[in-house]
Amino acid sequence: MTGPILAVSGLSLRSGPDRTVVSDVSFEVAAGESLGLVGESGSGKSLTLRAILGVLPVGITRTGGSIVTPARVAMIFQEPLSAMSPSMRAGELVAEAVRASNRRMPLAAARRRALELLGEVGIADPERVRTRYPHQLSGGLRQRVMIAAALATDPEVLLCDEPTTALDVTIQAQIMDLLDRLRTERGMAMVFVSHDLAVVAALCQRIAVMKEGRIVESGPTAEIVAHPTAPYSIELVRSARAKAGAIRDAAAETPSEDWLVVDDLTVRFPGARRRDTVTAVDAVSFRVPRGGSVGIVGESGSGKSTIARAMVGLVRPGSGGILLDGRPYRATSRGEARRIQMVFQDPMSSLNPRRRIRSVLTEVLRAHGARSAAELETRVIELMDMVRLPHDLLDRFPRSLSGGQRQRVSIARALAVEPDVVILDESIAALDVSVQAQVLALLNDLKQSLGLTLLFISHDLGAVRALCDEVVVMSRGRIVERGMVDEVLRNPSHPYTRLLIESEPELPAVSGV
Amino acid sequence: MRVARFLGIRLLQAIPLLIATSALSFLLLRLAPGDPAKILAGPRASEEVVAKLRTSMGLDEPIPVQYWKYLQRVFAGDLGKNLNGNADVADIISRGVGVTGLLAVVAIIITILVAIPVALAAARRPGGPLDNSIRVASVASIAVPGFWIGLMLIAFVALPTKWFPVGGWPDDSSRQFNAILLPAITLAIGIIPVLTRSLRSAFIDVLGAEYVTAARSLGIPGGRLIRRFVLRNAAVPAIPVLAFLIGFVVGGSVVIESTFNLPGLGQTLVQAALTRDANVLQALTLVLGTSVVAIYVIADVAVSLTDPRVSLT
Repeated sequence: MTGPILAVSGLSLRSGPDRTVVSDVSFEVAAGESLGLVGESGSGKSLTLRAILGVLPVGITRTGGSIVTPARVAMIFQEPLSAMSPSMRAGELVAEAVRASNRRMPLAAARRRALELLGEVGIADPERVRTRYPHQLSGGLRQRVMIAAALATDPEVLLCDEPTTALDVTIQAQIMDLLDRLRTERGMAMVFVSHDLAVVAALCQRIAVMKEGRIVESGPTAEIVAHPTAPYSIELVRSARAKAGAIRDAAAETPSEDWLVVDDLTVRFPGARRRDTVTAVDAVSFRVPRGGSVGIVGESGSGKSTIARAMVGLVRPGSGGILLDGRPYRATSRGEARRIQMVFQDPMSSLNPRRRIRSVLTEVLRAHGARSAAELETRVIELMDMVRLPHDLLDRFPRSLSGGQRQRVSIARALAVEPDVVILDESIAALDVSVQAQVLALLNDLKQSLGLTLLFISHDLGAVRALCDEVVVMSRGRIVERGMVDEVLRNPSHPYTRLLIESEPELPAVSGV
Repeated sequence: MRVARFLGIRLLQAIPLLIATSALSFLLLRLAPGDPAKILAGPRASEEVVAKLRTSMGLDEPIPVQYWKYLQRVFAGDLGKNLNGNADVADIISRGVGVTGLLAVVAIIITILVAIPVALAAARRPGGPLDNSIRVASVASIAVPGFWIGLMLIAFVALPTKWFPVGGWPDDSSRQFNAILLPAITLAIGIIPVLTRSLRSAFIDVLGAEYVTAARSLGIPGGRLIRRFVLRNAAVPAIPVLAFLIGFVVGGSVVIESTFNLPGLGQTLVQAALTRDANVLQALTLVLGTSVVAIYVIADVAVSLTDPRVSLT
C-alpha cells in the first residue's frame, strides 16, 4: 500500500468576513480508494470538494490547512443540467475536456477520443448522444456525459458532489454501478459526497460524517453503519433505517367508504402539432377512503405530479374527473377550492420571498373568508403550534428559515383553510434525511389528529412506506400496480415495481442495531 | 430548412403590418396642417393656381381613393417623385440608405467591440471599484446629448488632427469611412452603456453558472473558456437588446446626421417633413418599418442559432 494521493489537513473555510463554514477538516485517500463524505446540506461537504479542486465560490476564502492533490483531479456535479453549457453539444463538451489535458491534440482526434469515452461510460449509442444538446438528454445520460468529460482528463481522483441526488432511483443505481466499475477499472480514487448514507455506504470503503463544518466521525463503512458513536451519526443511521423499515401502525382501521375518487382521469398536453401531444396521465382511476393515505410512486415524467395538479385545478383534465364525498369536485369553484390543498416540492420557490411568514398564512385565511384581526392572529398561532414551529418565526422571511422550517410553513399554509385532502407533491424530497424523518412524523401525527386524507407523491419508497396505507405505482402515465404498501413492496408483481425496489439504496444489514 | 420556413412565415406576417403602417402615416399626413399644393406653388400664387395644382396632384379626391391609388403605385414598384417633381423618391431614398446604413453598421460594431470587454471587466467583480467606475461612466455617457458629443468631437478631434472631415459626405468612397467614423462614435457613445448593462448582468450570470465552474474544473484554459462557454451563453439575452439598439441608432441618426451634415435618411426625413413631401415621407415610413421588422426577425433567428433550447415557431 502506497501513501495517500490526496491529503487534506486542517482545512478551514470562511464565508464572508467571519462565518466559519468548514473547520479543521482532515482526511486522506489512497490510490484506488473511495471515501464518502456524508452530512446534511450546509455541513460543508460540497465546499470541501470545491476547495480541493480550487473552484471555491465567490465570497468563500480558505483560512487554513493544506491540501495535497495529484496532478489530475476531476469532479462531477449534483445537477448535470446546470453543469453543462446549454449551447454546447455533448460531444463537443467531452472533446473540449480531452483537449484541455492534451492541448496539442488535433480536433478530429479529440472528437474520436470523446466518442470512445462516451462509450466507456455505458452510453449505448454514443454517435447519437454526442450531437445532442444537454436539454435533449435525460438526467442519467447527462450525468454520464459529465462523467465522460471528467474521465477525459484521466483523473487520479474523482470528486463526486451528490451526483445521483437529482436522478430517479433506478438511474441512480445505474450511475452508482458505473462509478464503482470505473473506479475499479481505472484504479481511480474517489471522494463521494452525499446526504444519503445508504448511497455512500453502498459505494465507499470509508465514511466521514460531517456536521456544521466539522468531521464528527470517520472510519470504515461497516463500522460506522454498525456502531456509530457520534450523536449525529447515530441519528443519521437511525433515520436511514427508519425509512427503510416499516414502522407504521399496522392497526390502521379498515377503510369503509370511498371518500376521494379519481375517476378515469386523462390529461394531455398539446404540442405544436397534433402528433406532439403528450398524454401525461392516461385513464387513471383510484380511490382513497376518508382519513386514508395513498402513496403515488414512479419516476419523473410518469405523470404523478400531473394527477396532483389536475386535482387542485392547475391543469385541466382532458376527460374523467375527481369525486369528493360522492360529488364531482371542481377545484376552480370558490367555495370548494379549499377542500383539496397541495404542498409543493420546493418551499423556497412556493413561498413568496417578500412576505413574512405571518402574512403568508393570513393571506390564505383572508382569501377563504375574511376574519377579524384577532381571529386571524389566533388562527395563525394555532397553525404554528400544529406544525410545531416557534411563534417568533412569524415575523421572519422565508429565506431566513431552514428548509425543514420552510416546509412546515408550507404545510401550515395548506392546513390553514381546513382542507379535507392534502396532496404532498415530493414535499420532503428536497429536505435532509434527518429533517425528512421529522416532517414524516409530523405528517403522520397530523393525519391522525385531524383525520386528514393524504395523497403522498414521491419517488422515495421508504417515505411512502412510513406514511401510507396503500400505494399506486405509475409508469408513463398509467397505473402499473397498486395495493397495500407492505404487500406491494414485499411482493411486487410488475417488473417496473421490482426495478424500483431493487434500485433503492439500502444500508447493509447489520445485527444489533 | 427550419430557418427558411420561419423566415417565410414572418415575411408574410410583415405584409399586413407594413400596410397598416403606411395607411396610418398616409392618414396622418393628410390630417396634418399644411397644404402641399400651397407650399409647392409658393406664397404668392393665386387661389386658382393652387386649385389647379391640387387637382393635378390628385389632392382633391377622397382620402381612401388617394390611398388606394398610392398603394397600387407602390405595389407596381413606383414610389413616385418628390414634391418638386425633379427626382425619383426611390433614388433619394437609396442614396440616404447607403449613408445611414453604413453609419448604423459602424456604430453597432464599435458598440459591440467596446461593450464586450467593458462588461466582462465589470462582471469579474460586481460592486468592485472597476464595476462602479464603469457604472458612473455609463450614466454620464447616457446623460450627455448626442449632438453635444458630436460637436465636441468636431472641435477637439476633427479640427486639431485634420484626420476627419468636420462634416459632409465625400464622393470618393475611400474617404467615406473617415467621414462616418466620428458620427458613428457619437452614436455609439450613447448606446454603449445600454449594451454594457445588459451584457454585464448576462456575464455575471454565466460566470457564476455551474457549467463555467465545471469547465474550469476540467482544466479548460481561460481564453477558450471565455470564447466557448461564456460569450456564447451571454449573447442570448443580449441579442434582443442589440436589435432594439439598432432601431434606436436609425432613429438617433436624425440628430447626428444634422450635426455632421450627412446626407442620410435622417436628413432626408427632416427635409421631407418640413416641405410636407408626402411621397418621400411615405416611402421613408415603409423603408424604416421594413428594416425594423427585418432586424427583429434576424434577432429571433440569431437567438435560436445561439441557444438550441429556443425553437423558432
